[in-house]
Amino acid sequence: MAEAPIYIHAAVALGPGAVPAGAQRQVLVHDLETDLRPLVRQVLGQALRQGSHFVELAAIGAKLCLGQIGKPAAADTALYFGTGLGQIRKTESLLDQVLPPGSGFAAPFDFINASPNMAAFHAAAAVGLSARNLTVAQDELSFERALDLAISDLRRGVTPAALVGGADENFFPRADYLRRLALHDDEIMGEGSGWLFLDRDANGARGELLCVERYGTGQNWLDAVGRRIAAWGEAAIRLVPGFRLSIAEIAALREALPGLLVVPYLPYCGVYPTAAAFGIAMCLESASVQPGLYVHLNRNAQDEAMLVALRVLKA
Amino acid sequence: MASVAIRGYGIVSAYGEGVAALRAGLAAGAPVLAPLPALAPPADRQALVSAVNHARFPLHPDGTGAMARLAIEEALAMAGIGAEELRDCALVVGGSAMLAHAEQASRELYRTEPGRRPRLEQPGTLTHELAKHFDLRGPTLTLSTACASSANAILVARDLVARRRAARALVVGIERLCATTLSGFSSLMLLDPNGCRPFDVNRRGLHFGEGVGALLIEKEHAGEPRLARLAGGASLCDVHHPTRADPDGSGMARCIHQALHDAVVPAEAIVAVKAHGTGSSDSDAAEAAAMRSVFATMPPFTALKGYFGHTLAACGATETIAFLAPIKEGSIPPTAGFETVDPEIGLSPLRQPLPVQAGNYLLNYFGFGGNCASLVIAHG
Amino acid sequence: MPGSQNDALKLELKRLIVSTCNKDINPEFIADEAPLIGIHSVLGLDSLDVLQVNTALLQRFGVRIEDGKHARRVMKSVNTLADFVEP
Repeated sequence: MAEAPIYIHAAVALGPGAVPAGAQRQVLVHDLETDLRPLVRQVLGQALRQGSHFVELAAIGAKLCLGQIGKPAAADTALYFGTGLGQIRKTESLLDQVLPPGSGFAAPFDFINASPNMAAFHAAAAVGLSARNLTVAQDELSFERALDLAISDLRRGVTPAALVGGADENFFPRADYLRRLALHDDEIMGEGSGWLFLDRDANGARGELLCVERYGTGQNWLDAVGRRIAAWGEAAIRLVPGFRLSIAEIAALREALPGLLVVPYLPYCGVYPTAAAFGIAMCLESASVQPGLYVHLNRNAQDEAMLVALRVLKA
Repeated sequence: MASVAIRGYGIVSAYGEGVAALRAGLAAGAPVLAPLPALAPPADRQALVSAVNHARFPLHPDGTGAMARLAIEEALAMAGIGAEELRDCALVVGGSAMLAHAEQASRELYRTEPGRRPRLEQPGTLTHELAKHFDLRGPTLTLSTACASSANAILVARDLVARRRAARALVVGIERLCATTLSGFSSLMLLDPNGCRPFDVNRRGLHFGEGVGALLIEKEHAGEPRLARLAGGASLCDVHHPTRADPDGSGMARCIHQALHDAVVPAEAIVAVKAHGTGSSDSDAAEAAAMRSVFATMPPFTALKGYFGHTLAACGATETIAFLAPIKEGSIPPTAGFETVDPEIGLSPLRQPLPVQAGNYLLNYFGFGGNCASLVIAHG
Repeated sequence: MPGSQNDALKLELKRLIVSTCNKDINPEFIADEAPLIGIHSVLGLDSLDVLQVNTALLQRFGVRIEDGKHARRVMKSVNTLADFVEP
């Protein structure tokens, strides 16, 4: 049975420094601590006073993404959200408040916002969605899993459209962040919010989402991935490598697949668990977008990898 | 949507290890409720909680992992699933106990090196360890939708099985006690110092419980034994307010309607309801309003949080099990903690055990962040 | 001296409300007798804000509001709140 195609109608990649538009995006040279409140007021028209930085990241991204489709989304549009770190800043401040030498009293705003699903709540509220709303917290592959759930529901027709996002916030001190994600000192700590709007209507689509697939990362795991990519039989395929993919792994894929182009995105968003959402959205949103087949590949620190393939269509 | 069979379940709750301990506790009707001084936030009043045996299951990833393994093993034994069949099994986890683990690690570090923060584990860590331990090779997923986490996990597992992404799926709901969460609920004035009294006129909020529940779900095959059938369900987000349901219960009612529609079961065919029943003033009133708007004649309903507490992210699993286990023995447990009807609600939950009849049951779960989930489970 | 006659206390309370609730308003512009709660008040505090302020009061002054009804009575205005903190 041929599976129903899934189309991408909008894509937003909001990175550090509160830069939502691809044209102004610059390579990061150091960690950024961004105040999103002005952008929140600009995009949402009001402050998210009882929210958090993480909530702001998600709500701005969702609102910008739906803004691109130029009409209100159907109310039964489902929302799928992935996050690796969740409300890490609020969680830390809550622990500081409650545990010694703190006072023992949790501030209500912080307690509420320590729940990772509050980002998807505010994202849904910002764009008026009140249907299925799921938050997946599965480390480096959270966004890919949220996307997988969305595609599965769309293909079955249980939801007419899906808003799918991934977001994470950075936190300071930098050393704690690097330790938490097991990163090297020369990596830029990132944050961001990437969103896609998907449905089954080809009309006006900017891209087609081909598949989300899962691979074990045992011996020779890249052979299977290489065969999968080669099977598309296209001359120019672009590999969009996730942050856990090593230089050696990328090199091995390039060797196996001559003509494979590499599209780096981490220099623009830094390293964070759901950077994949930023990277995939960036392939679709820049002014000088190149049509063709894009393959995002990332793995976790344990034994799994996930591949997301999409076809970027001519503008 | 296709229905799936619930073939087994297992639990570690405040009543002890296993379904038998839970069933005995529910039958005796006494809540498990005690202070836990080690967890009292330093500046706050004592709060009563429903705790598991911490000597056996310390507040540590290893202790939580042990609870989850026990619950899964019990579910697998009940379902008669062997190691070979586990390869084609998905794992969907609701909750992670990350906050409780982080808190405990912070406490320990504070004793030796005050000022340093522990390295927090990632929310998917336990999920990954469980998949590895049981050699589950199907899709794995950790959902974090507050108190609807593991109810949503049941629905996602249903989808994975019905869509043949895996032959079977394990659902695990996880919650551990922590002072941070206790203090948070205290600040929100949502803790009842006397223990949870769902729908009671004097209700003041929840009491916090911990536990792990596991359910094994498979596609239904005619003639094969099953404990119950998940006929359908729905989940949605009520964007009325981050922490409060719409007072008219409209978001909850919409979720219940969608679940009934998904299960192709008319409202009048619901034999009884397991309410979410947190015991908080607003939430119970909204839930009662939702039930009234769905049901022309109110079916009998019960709430379980008075027994072993609000197990938050785990309650979708623990309460589904705590509803199914006594049903298998022929009765639905009454509402622990309830004494007096609230005139503003005007509904009385079950005060005596209700003999079970074959038919469809509705189970409701609601959480912060507007997350609502309803399940329709067919018995007999 | 009841708190409502203590200008320093009242200013401190105004600052506490504005900062804990992330309000974008100059605390000195809040009148002592102006309603604090509800969409028709200057500050437009909701029930969640009330709890947020309550936790801050507990930490700063060691006073505890018992429930939502009590909170609404106490937090009618800066004057009533000051009298609660310093009867």
